[in-house]
Amino acid sequence: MIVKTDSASARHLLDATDVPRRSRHTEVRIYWVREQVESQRVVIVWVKGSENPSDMMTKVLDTRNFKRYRELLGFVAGEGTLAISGLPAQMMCETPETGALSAVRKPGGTDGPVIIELCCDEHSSLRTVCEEWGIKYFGVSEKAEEASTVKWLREQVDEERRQGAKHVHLHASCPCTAGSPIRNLAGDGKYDFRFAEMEEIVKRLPEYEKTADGMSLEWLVCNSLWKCDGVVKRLKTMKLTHEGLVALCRVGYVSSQGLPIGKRLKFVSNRPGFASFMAQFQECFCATHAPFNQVDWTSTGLYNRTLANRILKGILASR
Amino acid sequence: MTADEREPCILAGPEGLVVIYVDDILIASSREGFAKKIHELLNSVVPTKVTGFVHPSKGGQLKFVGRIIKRLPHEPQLFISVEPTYLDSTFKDYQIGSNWRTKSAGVEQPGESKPLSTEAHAKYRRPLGKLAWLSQTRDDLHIMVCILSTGQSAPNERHERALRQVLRWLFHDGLVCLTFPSDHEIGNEDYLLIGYCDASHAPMRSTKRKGISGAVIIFCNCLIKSFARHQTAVSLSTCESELFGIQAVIQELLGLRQLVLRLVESLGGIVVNFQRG
Repeated sequence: MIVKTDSASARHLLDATDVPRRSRHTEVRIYWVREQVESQRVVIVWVKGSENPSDMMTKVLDTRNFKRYRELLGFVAGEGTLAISGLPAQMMCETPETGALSAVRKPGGTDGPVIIELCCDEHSSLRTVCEEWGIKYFGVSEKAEEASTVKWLREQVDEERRQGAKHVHLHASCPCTAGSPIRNLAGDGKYDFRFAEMEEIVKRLPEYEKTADGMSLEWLVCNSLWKCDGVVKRLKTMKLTHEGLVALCRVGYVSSQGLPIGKRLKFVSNRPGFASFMAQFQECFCATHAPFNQVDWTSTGLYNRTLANRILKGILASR
Repeated sequence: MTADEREPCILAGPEGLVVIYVDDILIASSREGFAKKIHELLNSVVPTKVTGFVHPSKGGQLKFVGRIIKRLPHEPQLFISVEPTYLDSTFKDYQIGSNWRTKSAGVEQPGESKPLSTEAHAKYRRPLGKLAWLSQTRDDLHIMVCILSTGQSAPNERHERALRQVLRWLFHDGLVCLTFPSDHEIGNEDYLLIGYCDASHAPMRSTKRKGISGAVIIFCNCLIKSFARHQTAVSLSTCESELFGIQAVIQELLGLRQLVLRLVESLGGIVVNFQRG
C-alpha cells in the first residue's frame, strides 16, 4: 500500500525518532502510523500538491481546479444529460460593433480618457481594445496589494493628468477569487473561510480609488464576497452602489461544443451610467446553457473581446 | 464459494464473484455460463428478474443498487453513474429549472443567520440525504456534502442558500459518469492500493476551525473510495492536520487491503482484466 501526501512536514514528523514536545497530544497517532510503516505494509511518499487529487476532498476549490481533479479521477460527461437534453441553443449574442467608438477617439489622444485595469491578465482584451482605439491603458497584473504598486500607478496617472487627461477610470476584476457560498456559512457577515489575498486587495481599493474619477468592480454574481461585512462596508464608503449584471452568453462566451455559457458577472460602479450600460446585457434568452463539463473555466475568467468592448463603451458612456 | 469475514455480502470463488445487497445481486465472472447457473439456482427458490448484462465484447448495461453500470462494445472501460432522474424530485422541491434568469441571484437579504423554521429544516435534510447517497457514486460531491452537513442540526439561511446553489450547479452539470479505469494515470502500480491524502487546517470559522481530512483511494487506476471528513479534534498546525489525514487513510487502506487480498486469493491471482474484449 502506498500513501501519497503533499505534506513534507508530516512526513518529517513520522521519519524522526522521537516526538517533539509540541506534538505530544498527537503521540498515539504518530506511533500508530510509524508502526504501520515499520510493518512494511505502508509506504508514505511525497507527491506534488498540484497533483494530489485528494485536494478536492478537503476544500471547496475554484471551478478550474475542481474540474481538473475530477477528470483526473475518471469522471466524464455521460451521454445523456441529467436535466437538459436535446434543446436547441438559441444565441442572443450581438456581434461586436466598432463604429460607435470612433466618436470618442481623438487623434493624438492626449486629452482622452485613461483606463486602469486592476488584477488583470497580462494580455487582457481590454488592453488590446484600448490600444486599438488609442486610449491610454494601465494594467496591474500582479502585486496589486502592495503599496509600491499604488505609488507607481499614482505617478503614472499624475503624469497623464499633466498632459491633459480628463477622465481616469479604474476597473478592478478579480477572476481568481473563488467565493463559493459553501465557503461562507457563518451567516454573521464576517469572513468564514479566509479570503486572505482578496482582503488585502479590498483594503487597498480606497487608495486606488483616489487616483481615479470613475471606478468599477466586477465579480461573479454568486460570489459570496459580495456579502462579506468588510466588502459591503467598503463598497458603501467608496460609493460603488450602482449595479449592473452581465450574462456571459450575451457577450459571446461559448463552450467547446458551441453552447452558450450560463454565468453572470456583477459590475458595481460609482457611475450610474456605467452600471446601467452594463445592465443592458443582463437578460439572457438562451434555451439552454452548456453543461459544466464542456466549458473551459480558465477562459471564462478572462474578458473576451466583445465584453472588453462593452466595458470600454460603458466607461466612455459614463463620463 | 465462500463469503468474506468482514464483508459477508461479497462471495468469491475461483469462478467468479457475487455481491449481494438486500434484494440486488451482482454476479461477475470470466465465464459466461457462471452467471446463468447462479441465476437458475436462485430462480428455483425465488423468482428473480435480470436487470441487464454487461459483456466485454458486446457491451451492455445493468442496474445495481440504483447505479447504472455500462460498457460499450470492445471498450476497456466501465461507466458508472446514477439514474438520470435521481434528483428530479429534489429539483422540483427547490424549483430549480433551466429557467435560471428568473431567479434574482445575489440579492442581499437581511438577517441571514437566523435559523430556519421547522418545516424548512425538515426540507433541508431530505436533499442532503439524497446528495450524501449520490456522493457515493459522484465522489466529487463529498466535500460539499461534508460542509453542508455541518448545518444539519441547526441550518440557517446561509446553509439553505448554499444547498440551493449546489443543486442548481448539479442541474447544469449534467449526467456525470465515473470511468473504471480512469483515462489519466493516477496509480497503476502492480495491483497496489494507493491512497492520496490531504487535509485542510482550520478552514472555517462556522465549524469551529475543525480541520477536514480528505483522501482518495485508487486501485488499478480506478477510484474505489474517497472521503471528506471533519477531524474530531482541533489541530494546532497544518502538519498535525495532515497527520490526522494520513492516519485516517491508512485505517481505510488496511480495511480495503483485507478485502482485496481475499479477492485476489479466491480469483486465482487475476483480479481485473481491462484488456479490450
